[in-house]
Amino acid sequence: MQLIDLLMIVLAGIAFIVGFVAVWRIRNLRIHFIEQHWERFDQLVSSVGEINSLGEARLRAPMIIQIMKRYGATALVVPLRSGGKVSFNLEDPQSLRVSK
Amino acid sequence: MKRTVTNCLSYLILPGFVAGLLAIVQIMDPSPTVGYTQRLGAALALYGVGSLIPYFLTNDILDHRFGEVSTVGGYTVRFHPDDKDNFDLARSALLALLVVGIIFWILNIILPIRLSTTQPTWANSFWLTGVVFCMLTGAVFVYMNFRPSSGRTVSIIGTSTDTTSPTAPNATPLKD
Repeated sequence: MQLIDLLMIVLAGIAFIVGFVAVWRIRNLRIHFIEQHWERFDQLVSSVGEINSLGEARLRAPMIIQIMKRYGATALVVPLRSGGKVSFNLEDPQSLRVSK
Repeated sequence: MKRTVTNCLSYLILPGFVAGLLAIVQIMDPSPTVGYTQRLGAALALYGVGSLIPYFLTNDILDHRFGEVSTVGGYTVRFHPDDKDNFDLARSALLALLVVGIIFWILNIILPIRLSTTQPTWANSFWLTGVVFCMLTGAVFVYMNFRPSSGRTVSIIGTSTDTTSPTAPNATPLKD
């Protein structure tokens, strides 16, 4: 095998690896995004706080929906202390869904 | 934002580095059968193929653009539910692009020599497919980098009752 052929194979490998590395480096973007916006998510969850029962969820729904709008959340699923989960959805604000 | 722009610029500059290395090889071996542009086309197609592999090795890049953002402290932060469909669509599109890239790479090696006698115009211009493919993967890279974070709505889904005080993302084993 000529030296030039070998060089071409090596260069092809380099082109492949360089392309791979160029994209591989951005895989941490998701983590950076979370770090940037975590405070917003944390404040939303803290503002809503705990919900004990579906009755309490119904009473607090208008306030929780306002909090969701303020923090730009379209849906929020909160586990109930009494068991199950309740979901708030801004696209259908009249409905509270309960799931076990 | 600055980091994203830096990443994009580095992606676009790196093919120049490959082209430079090829120019050095061409100076060493000015082959009459295989021209510089033909070598460049094949190398850039392979560069594009290499840049598509990470999308299949890790979900983090596609998740950042479309899907689930995090599962931290009993809460899952997720973008619009349609993003799940977009995630699957993007995965399929990237697979198709990868196959096309491999075909272009092989054709860039074989066709110019085979067509040089019968179709010299095609043979001389086929290298452009490698350049176009590389630019296409560059566009994919830029698309994956930019995320309209401001004003984008999220869904926050509690997965356990112990969610009153979610931990900071640094405290979870999110980092690779």
